[in-house]
Amino acid sequence: MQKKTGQLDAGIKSSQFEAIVHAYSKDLYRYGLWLTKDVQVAEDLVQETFLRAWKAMDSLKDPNAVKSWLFTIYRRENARRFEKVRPDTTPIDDINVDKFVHLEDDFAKTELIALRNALKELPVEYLEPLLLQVLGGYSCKEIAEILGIKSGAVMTRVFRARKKLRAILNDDSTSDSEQIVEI
Amino acid sequence: MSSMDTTCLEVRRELTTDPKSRSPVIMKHLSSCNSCADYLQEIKLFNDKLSTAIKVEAPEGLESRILLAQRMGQSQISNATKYSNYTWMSLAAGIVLAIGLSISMYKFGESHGLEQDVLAHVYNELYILEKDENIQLASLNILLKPHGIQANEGIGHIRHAANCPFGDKFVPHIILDDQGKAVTVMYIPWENVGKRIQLDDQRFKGTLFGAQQGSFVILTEDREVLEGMENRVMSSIQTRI
Repeated sequence: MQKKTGQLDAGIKSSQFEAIVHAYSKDLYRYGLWLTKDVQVAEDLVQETFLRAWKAMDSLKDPNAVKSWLFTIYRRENARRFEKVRPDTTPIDDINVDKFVHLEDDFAKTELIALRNALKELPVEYLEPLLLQVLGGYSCKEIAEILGIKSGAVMTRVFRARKKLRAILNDDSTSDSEQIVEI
Repeated sequence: MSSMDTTCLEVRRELTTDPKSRSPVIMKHLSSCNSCADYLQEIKLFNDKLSTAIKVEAPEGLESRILLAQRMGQSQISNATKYSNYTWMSLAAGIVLAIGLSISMYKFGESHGLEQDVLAHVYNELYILEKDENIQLASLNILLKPHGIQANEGIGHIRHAANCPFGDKFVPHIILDDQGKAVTVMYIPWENVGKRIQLDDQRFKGTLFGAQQGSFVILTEDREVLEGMENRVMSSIQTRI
């Protein structure tokens, strides 16, 4: 069969896919776990995301855009989950807050456990841009494009989320008690 | 500066929002305000802790289960509650893992300098050294085109080629064959290292050198192979006009 101009052959496409899986699957899983709080749902969504990415790889023109493309697919799949099955229970809280490999320092462990507990309680509209910033390495402008909201709103949400989380470590009761409100 | 003025507040707000922000306003202010420079260090420390806290462990075998599902050409799941295949998928994925995957402890970004990042990437993808997909020259050139280079027949037998994530961009990662031995070639389009850098760790020997645009990396496990390979690469890959 004649190959379309510019279309990758199966070997290269497969290699490219493997490289993408190795580079991004763990961060996509982490992103999903914090959002869904359920290890199985988070992994299933990663699987589904990569399967959809594999099927659509020929349409990806710019390889540098693959990471944000994957996050966008993941978000869409997560949204579809609610269309297909309306969960009748609250998500399972599967995030193991006290599991840190290679971390011997008890004080550091305590700090990180406190941070993870605070992250679990962060409202999703604040958590999601923060995850995209830390795991995806995106600027506020890029996060705004992925989430479909204004850049100013992303900045405000990330600022407040970070301020609240810092207050946990600094034992700043003023900031700690500050309510996160939508702008 | 002993007390915070409006600029300090603005700078701190920007650094709190994005610790990696290095706008001209921030840089100029940091060079003259020790208090805000100290604040930046606090923010960096906090950012490291936050990053560690967010990066929960991913389940063992995640990557191999994804690759297995792709090879089977079907979805493992149809909704969030269908997990019946999970156990055998894990077992089968373990076999794939044993056959093909070798994940090193090297991680991109933990090192300093392009040569360490290159080695880290190669160690992360050791499994491709065993592959021979016999990639055609036309296919390789489709892959190289976005990077502004092209290869000719002189490049010889191409065992593997892919655009690999490298930092926040993609680079061509090619495995050539030299008398049955795998030779890694990578092209970093955005950085010309200028002088030649020798790479020599316990396993790989190689060179990193600047080209007309960008830099090439050649790595092998056999120093003798390396000597002829640089000429082969330089004479068979050109900048697209």
